Amino acid sequence: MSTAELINISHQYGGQFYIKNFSVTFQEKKITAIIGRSGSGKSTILKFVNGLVKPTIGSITVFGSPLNYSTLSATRLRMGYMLQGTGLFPHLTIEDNISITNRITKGDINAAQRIEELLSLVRLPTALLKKYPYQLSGGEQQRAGICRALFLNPSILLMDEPFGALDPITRQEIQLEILKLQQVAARTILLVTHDMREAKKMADYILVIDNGEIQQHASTDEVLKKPSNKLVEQLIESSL
Amino acid sequence: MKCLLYITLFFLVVSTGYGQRIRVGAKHFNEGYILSEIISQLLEHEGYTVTRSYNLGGTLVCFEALKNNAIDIYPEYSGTIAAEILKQPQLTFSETNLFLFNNFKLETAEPYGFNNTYTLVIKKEISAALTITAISDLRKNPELKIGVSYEFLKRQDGWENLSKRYALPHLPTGLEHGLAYEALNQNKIDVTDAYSTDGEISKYGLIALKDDMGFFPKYEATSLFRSELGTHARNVLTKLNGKIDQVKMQSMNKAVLYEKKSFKQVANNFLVNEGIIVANELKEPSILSDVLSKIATHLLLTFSALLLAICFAFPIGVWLYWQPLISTPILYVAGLLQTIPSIALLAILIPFVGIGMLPAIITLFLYALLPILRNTVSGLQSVDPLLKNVAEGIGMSRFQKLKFVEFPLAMPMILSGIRIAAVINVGTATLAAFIGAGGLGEYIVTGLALNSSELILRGAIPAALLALVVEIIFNLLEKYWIPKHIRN
Repeated sequence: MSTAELINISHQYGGQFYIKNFSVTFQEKKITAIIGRSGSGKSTILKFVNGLVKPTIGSITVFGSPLNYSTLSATRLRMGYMLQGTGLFPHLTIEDNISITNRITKGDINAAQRIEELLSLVRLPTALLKKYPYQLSGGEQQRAGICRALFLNPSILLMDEPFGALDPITRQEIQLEILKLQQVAARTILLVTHDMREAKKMADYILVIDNGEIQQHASTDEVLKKPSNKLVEQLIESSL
Repeated sequence: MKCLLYITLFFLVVSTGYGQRIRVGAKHFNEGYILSEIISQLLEHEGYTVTRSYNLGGTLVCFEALKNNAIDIYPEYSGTIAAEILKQPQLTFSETNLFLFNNFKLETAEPYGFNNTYTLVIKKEISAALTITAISDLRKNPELKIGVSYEFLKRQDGWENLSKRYALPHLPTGLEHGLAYEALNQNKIDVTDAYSTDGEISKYGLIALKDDMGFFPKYEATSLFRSELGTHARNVLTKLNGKIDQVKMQSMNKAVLYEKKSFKQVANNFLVNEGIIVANELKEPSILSDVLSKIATHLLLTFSALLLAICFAFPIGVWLYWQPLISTPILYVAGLLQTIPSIALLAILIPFVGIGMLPAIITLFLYALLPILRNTVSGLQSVDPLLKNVAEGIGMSRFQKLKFVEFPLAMPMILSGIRIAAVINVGTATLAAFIGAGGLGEYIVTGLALNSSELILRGAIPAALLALVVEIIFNLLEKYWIPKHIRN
């Protein structure tokens, strides 16, 4: 069960509810784009799933069982996590960054072999392994970030505007690489973005949120063809 | 069974050894050193093992050390005990003794035989020409120029009351005590105040005027010791009763100050000349080996305190980082500790931990704590929140996050905190000599007491070099340990 489900979530911050009675089931092994304006609460949705934020009210189900806040580390290790920017650790080499989850699980994975697999998936040369993140280009860093997120072969992948800092060409390349990875082995991917074009290109499903409330949650085709309200329409028009 | 035997043997050795050991303290001025060294050599000659805790910072530190069983004996002056320690200047010698015994279980021996009080001195020629031998003789000679130290002008037992008692008509000028002897020598003044055992009195051939109206309080030097001191040791001390008169003390002070003799030599010469001990070979360590051993003590003090501070600052720093609400008040308190003058802190600790290495290490530890603690907390706080988020998000536990991400990224700041603490400690450790902890400060403290810049430099230069070396070592450590792009 590589799925995630939010049930009747309300969340209070600074004395105000900014996510209200939110329920959603993410489709297994599909890419769902979570889209909305800045401050709409889309990043928070992701943080509910991996437990970085605990909702004031409501419950969360991942991998088929309720999210247990006392064993978060174990749960998170089964989900890849990528963030705006690269989130690579500046003091570690690319090799150490990619295999960091192996160190924290003290896993018995053959790290060298796994790293090689991942590098060829994202087309990164092995010569970069001994370098530090600052010595890499933005695209290379992003690819290294993908390798790190995929190291333990998670069945859920959380991506929070991962391509925000890339130039359009590199962004396109990496988007395609993710799609290729999805064809090889499908995962449940939650992709937070504010870019409808990116959603259109990558997602099977789109979840549009605004002001902490669901505006529409349907297949990409349906959202694009039949926006459920004015706000969704505007969002599509402004970015396509 | 064998084990039991060893334990018994061990305690036997320790207890007999302990019975033979006597800790001698000294006040950090010329005469204090000489008298303490006389006591030490006398006791050693009688078979005792003597631990010398010299350079104790003044009356307060000595008395506290004695009271709190950190030393067993030190030479003190009757007037100082009554006026300065007991705050009852009217007490007689025997009343003082009774009070000491009843309240502190301390006792004094018989006086050594000299009274180191204030006196007025005059050149021998003038004394002879005008037949002035006592203070009251000054009354007949109102033309004499009197110059006294600023302190003497103000003191209760100083000029104002003295001139009233003796009805002296002179108007004195104030001057620095250090310059007074030279002024006297060049006939700029005719009379000045002095301590009656000052080495200068015999050096310049001056006459100390008799206090014929008994104005000055008595400052009889004697051994002040703890009542537990054994009968045999007390008997040994009686050998000094009445043996040191004013002239002998003056010449011993002069020998150290102007004849480049060491305390050890002067004390030894005295004991041998008086027939109290038989002449023996006096071993004096070479300057180099002495400096090296003091550097070793200095480093031991500095780095054991530093290590201790690191051991405490890391866990406390992490804890404070996790509890941001209380981190501010705790860092504030730690900052407050830093503002206590180190000499005061050293003195405050004596009642709890005595004198020597332990209070010194505790003091240095407290001083090192703040820079390391503060830099640990703010170093951890300054790690990019995004990276903390990532660390958690990919599944690190709290401790893994600390180990793999936060500590490595906070390291440059933490290391600079440790470096600051180390350099502070190398400097502050020089003050540890005041409570008998040894180290390079011993030269400085002794040098200050003797007004010997050579001795001061012998301590100050290695200490400054040490601070420099520590700084360089930490810079190198930083360079090799932390990748360049993290450092900047």
